[in-house]
Amino acid sequence: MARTLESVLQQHVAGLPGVLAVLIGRTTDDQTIAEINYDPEAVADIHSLGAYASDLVRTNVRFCQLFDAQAMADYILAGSGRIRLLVKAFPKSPYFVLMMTKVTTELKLVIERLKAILLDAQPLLPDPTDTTKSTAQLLLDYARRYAPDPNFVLLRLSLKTGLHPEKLAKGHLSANEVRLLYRGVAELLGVERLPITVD
Amino acid sequence: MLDCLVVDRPRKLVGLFGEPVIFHCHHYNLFLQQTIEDPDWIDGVGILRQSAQEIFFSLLQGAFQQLEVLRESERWRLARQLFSFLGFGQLEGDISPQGGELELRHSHYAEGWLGKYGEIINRQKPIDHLAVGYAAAAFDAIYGSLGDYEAEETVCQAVTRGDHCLIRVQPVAVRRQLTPSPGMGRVIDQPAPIARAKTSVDYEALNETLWGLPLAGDDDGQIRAFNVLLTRMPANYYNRIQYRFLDALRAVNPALEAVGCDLIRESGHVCVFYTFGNIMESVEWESLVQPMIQTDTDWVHGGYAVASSLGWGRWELVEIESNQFCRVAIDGNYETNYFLATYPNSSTGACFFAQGAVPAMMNIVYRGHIAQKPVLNETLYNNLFRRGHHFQGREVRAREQGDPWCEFTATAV
Repeated sequence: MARTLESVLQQHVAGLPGVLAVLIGRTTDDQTIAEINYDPEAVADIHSLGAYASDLVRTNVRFCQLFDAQAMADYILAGSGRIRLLVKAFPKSPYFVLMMTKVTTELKLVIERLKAILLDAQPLLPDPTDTTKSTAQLLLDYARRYAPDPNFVLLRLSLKTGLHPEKLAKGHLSANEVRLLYRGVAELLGVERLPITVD
Repeated sequence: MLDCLVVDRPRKLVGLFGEPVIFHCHHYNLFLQQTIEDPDWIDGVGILRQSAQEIFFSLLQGAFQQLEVLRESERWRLARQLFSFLGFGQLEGDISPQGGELELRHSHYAEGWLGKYGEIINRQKPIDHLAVGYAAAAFDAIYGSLGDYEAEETVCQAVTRGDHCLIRVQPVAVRRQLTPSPGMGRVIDQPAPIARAKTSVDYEALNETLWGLPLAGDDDGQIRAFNVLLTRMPANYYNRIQYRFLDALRAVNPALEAVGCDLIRESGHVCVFYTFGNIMESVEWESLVQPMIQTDTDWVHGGYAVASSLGWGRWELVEIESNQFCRVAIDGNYETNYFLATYPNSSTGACFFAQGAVPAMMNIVYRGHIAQKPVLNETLYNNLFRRGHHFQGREVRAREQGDPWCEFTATAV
């Protein structure tokens, strides 16, 4: 049977106690391309988890470029007093692997499993240009991740831009409409610039 | 000032100097204002300021007349007292017919916004549109007539994160044609014979207890209760801003009027979720309401007994199926009292606050599992929608469409 990204994740996570979720994500469009959710109660929305991790990876890449351009980006450790997030980017690639565990899970073991996933998953990663998300959708997703009242972001942006919510949700906008959306999202977040490039 | 409140027991309305006044929390106030501010292709800020100027002019004029306050300095003192009593903060400064610069401290909107959003957003525009309108209204009522003054917020605490705001007031060259409040509006002649669903909750006993609570602005001019910031707002401010906002959307981009309605409904939903959630977790609920509760549906009844103590009109839970469905009648809702005094009629149900509030009461009881005292935070609120299966509301009878009272349903989806 042919190996898949999911089977690689499954193989290397097997037997590790306290794992809540593992996934492979992509920073270019914040997509999760392979995932296993071991605790849907704790990880209600695994795709949001992948998108937030994507933001972490981008920030870390930027940090490394600015302060240590010669070295490769290393593991990113995040989390709370009860759960831990460990993320590692594939070398020279927009892909990354994430493991979310309880803090009781031994960190050394998690790192070993992540290393194995990085090695075995590398040849199976899809073409990173194979993305279907428009800039408008990336902007909307970003707003949903960071604006207050995320369930109502689409409606608020509709009023801000003057564009119907259905049109916004489809994401097929003209260049001028994308600029309006960019400004709307920036206003919702109270910032001048967003980490998403608009032509 | 509490002595000046007039409770209309049969209609369950509360009046102050001829204006209906109601309680709402900062979650509601901020979401509703934000909705109206969002589209820059209408003059949302203008709607907020002008409506405040009109409604508070009527309130202040009523106060000066009723209390026979004639001297300008005494009128200004009363205007400041009233501002704090209602929970808007503290307004200070020297005034003259030429205008003045007022200092606003502990602003309900600015401090409420900083508390709710300040950790995640930098606000770039002033927020105190109500206080701006109030300040202009005070000058109108003290020195002239409605529309003689205008005001501007020059420093806003929500932007600077300092400890005060500044509002500059000045006379206008030509009086603006503004519209005073319709006062109590078109109230019902007498309560309709509406049968309440079976419950052990004594609405009327709770009404009396809650009407007697001394809820008024503290030394900072804030009403801190049930873990939220409350305001005792003239109902017609809410009514005027929401209907004018929808009028403006319809005039410029009618396709987005429904979006405006949805967001106003959400302001009602978020209000009830947080305010009633906090009320249901309070010691007051434990001591006053909890002893009456025998079934899960009594939690919803308890919510409506409290709701009908807030000046919102006579809210009655007429039908409830545990965890599935409810039907709520409102006899003389504050929204319709204004609507019918201002507009001829409506082609659809226009009680947008109530349309959001009714499903929210079911959501807090059955989806928020309020009896288990959850932490009422943004995560719980957002998960409510993310997980689906929440209650959705509909106005099925509408006084603004000719029915004798309004009715709303909430159904699990």
